[in-house]
Amino acid sequence: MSELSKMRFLVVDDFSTMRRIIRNLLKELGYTNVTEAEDGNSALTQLNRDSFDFIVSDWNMPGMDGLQLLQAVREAPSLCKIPMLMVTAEAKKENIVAAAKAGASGYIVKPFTAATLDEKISKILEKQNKPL
Amino acid sequence: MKTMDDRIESATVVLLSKLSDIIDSHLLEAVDDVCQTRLILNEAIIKLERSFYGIQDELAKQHRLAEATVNDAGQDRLTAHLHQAIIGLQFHDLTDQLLQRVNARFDGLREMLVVMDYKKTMVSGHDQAEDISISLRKADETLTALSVKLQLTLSKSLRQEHMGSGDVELF
Repeated sequence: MSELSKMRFLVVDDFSTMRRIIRNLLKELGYTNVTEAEDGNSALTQLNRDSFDFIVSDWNMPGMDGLQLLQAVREAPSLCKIPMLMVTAEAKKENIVAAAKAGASGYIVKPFTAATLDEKISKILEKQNKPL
Repeated sequence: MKTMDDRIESATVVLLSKLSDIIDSHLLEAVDDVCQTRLILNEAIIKLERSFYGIQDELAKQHRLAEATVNDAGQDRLTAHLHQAIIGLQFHDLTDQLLQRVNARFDGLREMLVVMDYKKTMVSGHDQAEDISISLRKADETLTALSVKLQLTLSKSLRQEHMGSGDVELF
């Protein structure tokens, strides 16, 4: 099993089409270990139950949104080190700044390409000093 | 010095004028959102159409070359078309969010109209002009508060300039 396929990803999005798109793009990039959650609350439950290496999350979701999930993750000692990439339709500068302030590891605006996703994940993992 | 009738008339004019302005500005925002939705949908349809025709063409070529060895260039072109189709599919999410915003704005407008309807009943039940004047001014304040609340809830966000990569240089 390669290093990439060992990495455990959690994809959080209320839109099933988007979850499927991100899962397939990750698979194409070699990240085959992907779990899905449909909002922040169920994501947090899964994060506290299982171990993950990377979170890819939408912003606009019912219940707990992506920013709230990001804040919850960064406040939890057991989760705070997990890289979190925001994948969202929120293109406003203040949204991006809010995500950065809350501790987002990266930000992608929908619609995006596989190349952009690959580049962002690679950059984040390089910063985290994790071997690819 | 203004008479009681003058004050009632003045308050009514202010209220009706504010109501008209508020409804007009929110309807303009709703129209703007619908226009943006149409542009995004159009972009999605064009991308999907281009991609699937591309896939169709490549498959026809592959079919003709069925007896040849593995065609890497053809495979690359197929992958490129599929990536374009994936980008197009993401517009579904964007347009869905915009349409939800339009619905939320219409709900907010309906809430304001309910306030107006309630205040109209209150005014018609009063005998004293002074009470009517106070009631109208309260309606004005309530409408202003509702409008501000609606605007804060629905602040603009879906304004992608680039419908391609999704890259944002910040981090």
